[in-house]
Amino acid sequence: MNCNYCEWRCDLSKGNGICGRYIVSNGIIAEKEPMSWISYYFYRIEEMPFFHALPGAIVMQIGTKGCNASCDYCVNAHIAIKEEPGQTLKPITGKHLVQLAIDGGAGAVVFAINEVTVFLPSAIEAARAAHEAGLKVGCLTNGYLTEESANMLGNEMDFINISLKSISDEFYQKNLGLPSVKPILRNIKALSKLAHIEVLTPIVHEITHDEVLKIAYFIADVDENIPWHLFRLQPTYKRVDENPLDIGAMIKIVEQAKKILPFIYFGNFAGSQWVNTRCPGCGHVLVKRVCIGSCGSKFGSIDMDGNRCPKCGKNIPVIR
Amino acid sequence: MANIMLDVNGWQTVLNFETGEPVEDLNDLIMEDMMKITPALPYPGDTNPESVDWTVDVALAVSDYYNPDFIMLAFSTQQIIKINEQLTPEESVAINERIFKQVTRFLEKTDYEAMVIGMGGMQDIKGVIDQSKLSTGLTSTMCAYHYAGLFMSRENDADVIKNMEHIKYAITKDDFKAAHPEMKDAYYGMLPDYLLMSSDGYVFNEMGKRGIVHKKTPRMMHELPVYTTLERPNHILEVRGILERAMDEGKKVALIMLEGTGTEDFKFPYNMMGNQTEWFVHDQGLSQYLAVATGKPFYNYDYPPIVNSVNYLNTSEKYPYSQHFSVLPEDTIGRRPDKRTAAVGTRSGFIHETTMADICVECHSRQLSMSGVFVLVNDPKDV
Ligand code: SF4
Repeated sequence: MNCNYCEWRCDLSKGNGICGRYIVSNGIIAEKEPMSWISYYFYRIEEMPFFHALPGAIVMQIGTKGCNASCDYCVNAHIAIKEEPGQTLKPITGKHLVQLAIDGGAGAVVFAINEVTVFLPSAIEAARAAHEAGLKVGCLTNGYLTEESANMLGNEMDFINISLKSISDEFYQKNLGLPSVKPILRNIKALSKLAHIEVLTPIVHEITHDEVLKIAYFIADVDENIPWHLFRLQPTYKRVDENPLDIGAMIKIVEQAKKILPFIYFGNFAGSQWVNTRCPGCGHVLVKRVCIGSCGSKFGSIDMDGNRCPKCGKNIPVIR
Repeated sequence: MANIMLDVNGWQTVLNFETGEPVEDLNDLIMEDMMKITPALPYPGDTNPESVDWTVDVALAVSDYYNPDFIMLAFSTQQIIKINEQLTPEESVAINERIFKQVTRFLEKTDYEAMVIGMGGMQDIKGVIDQSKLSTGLTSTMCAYHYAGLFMSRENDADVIKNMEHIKYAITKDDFKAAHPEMKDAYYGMLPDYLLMSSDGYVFNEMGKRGIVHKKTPRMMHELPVYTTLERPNHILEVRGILERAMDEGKKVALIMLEGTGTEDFKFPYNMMGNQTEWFVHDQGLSQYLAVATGKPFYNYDYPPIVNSVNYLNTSEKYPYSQHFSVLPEDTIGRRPDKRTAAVGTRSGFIHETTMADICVECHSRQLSMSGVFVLVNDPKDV
């Protein structure tokens, strides 16, 4: 019996799938620990990161454990890849989750921490409870979903951040343990029609100048208004001994890519000056942020007239 | 005007401390010199034992350059490693010995009178507080291990709290106010409906840790070991006064804070000093740094031991690169106008947020991920 949540399409009658989070139960594919969570906490939405969805909103970040990929630079390997003794999930119903989110002052629930595909039925159940209570819902994904799952996800989420780590199959095979980038490219196109999407690309040494530009062209081809986050990764997990990336060299590439995509951000290092949203028409700073490093961009202020630039009137794609 | 500088593996940017805006025309000789010093001293990382040596390397560089009358050295590496990694007994001993070796190196190479404080040992986690009967989730942070707050409480929570196991002390917002009417209005506003203190070794925060399984937790220390060549403090709140009096006598003083070091690991001869004010026991970390830097009791700080994460997130417009506070203490040993002051170390944020010294150099880390070196140059005296 095959699991069709992601493109691995594991045969679960033979045992655990790649992610280890689904089983066959009473003849259907079911989560091992449905509606059970490893962590929830409150952050500003910029830290997820989402820069064009609910600027400044407080969100409840929630997740489980496990992943269908095995990135050698995973920043959450302790949850996604390695099983740590004593790491337990806590059952919390959708209704209770929503109450916790509201008590915590959150305007949205965001499934982050680990890959949403490995707990998709729970994410959908919780998303529906959140929507019923008037909260927005978003998630982070590596995009390696089947078409059916991508469709489900797109219909349940208000905003999705999709990680596009490279444009080459070879990179995906070597560094992420995934056979191909093609399903991800396909899903970016599909999800962009169903929900607000942002794309994130972690920058490691193998991502060349050329590849950055190729990714920018791919995104622009889908929709040039998609915000693109370039993340400078501090060497971590299996790459912990690598030299850190040269920020100065990356800045030059970012400036070039800006000519292809108007909403491009370069962050994940303290002091970055590439995290503000500027009007592509007149350059006016619309949303100010500060980058404190390690996924931390703080909301500063917003200067928009509804969805328009207050200076030149250009329409800016931001969910308010 | 105060500036900060972030050095991320050699990429440097100078920002206005209060606004976080880039500084275009840097007219700050000390900062310019600090920009030459930090590239040679990259931070090794929160769980890298070499960060112990880094603290002393930075302290020596700052001492050579600025010759401060007061310097604080904060060593957090032992605590961070023991919380996050399962050490063998040999590794555990080695990290502690490394700290004392490095402290000795600093004291031998300089002419500072020392006040060395063991902020408390580490222990196995005795248990997790069951909060399932409360109407909503407790708020707790890594800034205060034995404390949690209940915000948005509902009627029956009072009874639930009375019957919760392993709660050593619980106080309502109103009782807190009645006991300490002099607290600032903002402090009162940020207090939780109930502030809870757990029994020694029991922890609250299971759901807010992003799945990180802690291996150890700090001990609750009613008294702390302290070694000093100065007058002996009987209580943590006396430390600032003793250091200030020594400076009045023309002495140079070094306050050395050792996180993760308790009586069992303290390698210098020591006396014990109180670490408790009324019912409040200073947890290893933030409240102890505030106690030594301000000399004031916990209810006179700008923030309560636990704040609602929503309040905290909402107050980040000022000092955006300070990770915990947007209101910084006004009256600290580091702000003394007639003496040069400095603070360095591996406890990101707390070092400058508590001392407000003329020059602060600390790692800039979040969630164990290293983002470089943070330098604050804050109203310095002429070099
Ligand atoms: S979600 Fe998990 S079990 Fe299902 S196909 Fe993907 S890796 Fe296999």
